[in-house]
Amino acid sequence: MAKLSIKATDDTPDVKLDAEQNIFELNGMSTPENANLLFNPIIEWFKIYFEKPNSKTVLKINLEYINSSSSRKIIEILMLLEEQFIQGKAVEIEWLIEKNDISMEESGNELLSLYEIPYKIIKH
Amino acid sequence: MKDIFNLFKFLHRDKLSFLYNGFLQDEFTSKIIDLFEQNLNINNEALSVKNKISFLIAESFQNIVRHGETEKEKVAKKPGILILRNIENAFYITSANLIKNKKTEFLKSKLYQINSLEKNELKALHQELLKTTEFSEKGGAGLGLIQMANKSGQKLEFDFETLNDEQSYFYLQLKIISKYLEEEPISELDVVESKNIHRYMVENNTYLAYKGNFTQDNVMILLKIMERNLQIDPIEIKATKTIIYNILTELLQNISKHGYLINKIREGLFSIGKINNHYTITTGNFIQKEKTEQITTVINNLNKLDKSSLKSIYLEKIKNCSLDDEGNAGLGFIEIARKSNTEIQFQISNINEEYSFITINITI
Repeated sequence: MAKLSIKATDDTPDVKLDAEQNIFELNGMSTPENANLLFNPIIEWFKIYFEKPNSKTVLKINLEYINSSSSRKIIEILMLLEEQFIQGKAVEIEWLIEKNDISMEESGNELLSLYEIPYKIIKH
Repeated sequence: MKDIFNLFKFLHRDKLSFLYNGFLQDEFTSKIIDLFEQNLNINNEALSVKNKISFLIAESFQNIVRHGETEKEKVAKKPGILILRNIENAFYITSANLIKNKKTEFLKSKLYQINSLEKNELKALHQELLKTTEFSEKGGAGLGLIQMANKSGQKLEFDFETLNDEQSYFYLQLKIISKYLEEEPISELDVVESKNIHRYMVENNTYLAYKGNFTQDNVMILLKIMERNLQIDPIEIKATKTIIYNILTELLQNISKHGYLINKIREGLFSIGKINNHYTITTGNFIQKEKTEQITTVINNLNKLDKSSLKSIYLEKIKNCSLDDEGNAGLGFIEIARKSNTEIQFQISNINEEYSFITINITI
C-alpha cells in the first residue's frame, strides 16, 4: 500500500506512515488552525491500512506542542485504533516526550487512558 | 487590564507594533525580522526597503549588545529595549540601552554632527571610515551610528532619560520611509512616545507586546518568537514553558479564528509580562457585539469550576464533539482554564453597535 509522507511545516508535524517499513510516526509541532486538513488524510490512510495490517502496529507520537483542535483529531485516531485493538489486532502507542516535560506527560496519559490501547510514555 | 485597551488605542496609527524590553539574542531577533518581512507587501515594497529594515533592526540590536551597560557588572546577556512600529508609510526602529552618564555629552555631539551632514557627505564619511578605522575592542568606533544614518536616509532622532547618578537610558530612533507610499505625507513620530512605551512596560511588568493583524501566519511567527524567548529565559522547567506555549497558542489562535474582521483585518494586541515567577498573558481583540453575552457566560461558567470538574468537561467534550468545517473544537477556553493558575480575567469594552473589544488576562 502506498505510504503517506508529509513534510513538517511551521505548525504541522512530519508524518511518516509506511506499512512496508513498519514505520508509523508523527514528529514535531501540531498547532494548525484547521486540524482537519492535516489529520483527515492520516485517518483515511489508517482505515485502508487496517484492511491488511502488519502483525504489529506501533504508532509513535512525538509532538512538542498540541493545540486543542489537534487533540481532538488525535482522539479520532485513538478511537480508530481502539476499534482495531478490540477486534484482536496488535496495536500499541508510544508517546514520546522530552525528559522533564510533565505537562506533555500528563496530556499523554489523559488522552491515552481514555482508550483500551496499550501505550508507553517514553522520555528522551 | 484597562491598560491594554489604552495601549491598543495609543497604538491606533500602527499597522504593526512590536515592543520588547528584555534580553536580546541573535536567533530571537531574526524571528522579529521575519515578522516584519512577513507583513510587508511583497509586490509593493521595494526589496531595498525590506533589506533596509532587516539590516537596521539587526544593527540596532548589535548596538545594544556592543554598547549597552547593565545595571550590575558583567552579565552575559544585555538588556535592551526594541520598539518597532509601522505607522502609515514609515517604519520606526527605536532601540534603547543603558549608558554611563559621562558618555552622554560625547554621544550627543556625535549625533549632532552626523545629523548635520548632507546625504552625500554622510556617504563619503561612511566610506572613509570603513577604509581607515581600526576597530576598537567593542568593534563599533562610531561606525554604527553613521551606518544607520546612511542606510535609513533620515535624521537620527534620539533622547536620554536619567536613571541614576551613574547611568542613563539612551533612545535612538531610526526611520525608513516606504518606497511605495513615498508621495503621501509622511508620518511623524516623537521619540518621547518610545519613552512612554518603555515606562508603560516597566509599570505593567510587560516585556513583550505585539499589535497588528492576527493571521495564522503572524500567530505562528509570534509563537516562534515566544519559543526562542522562553529558551533564553532562565526558567529551567520544561513543563512551565510547555504550559505557557499551550495557553499562548490557544489565546492567539482564538483571535485568528474568532476575532472580528474589520476591513479584512483581525486587529488585536497581545502582551506578556513577568512578575516574580509568574507570567501574565493578555490579549485584546474586537468581537461581534452579538457574541459578547455568550462568551461572558462561557468564561464565567468555566471560572466557577474546580480543576477536577474542568478535567471532566474537557474529556467529555473531546470524546464527543467533532471539529466544525473550520477546524474548531470549542475546547480552547477549557484548555486555558485548566492550565491557568487563576481565574480567566476578562473585560468587554463597548465600542459601537457592531462590535466590542474584549480583553483576556491569564496568569500562569
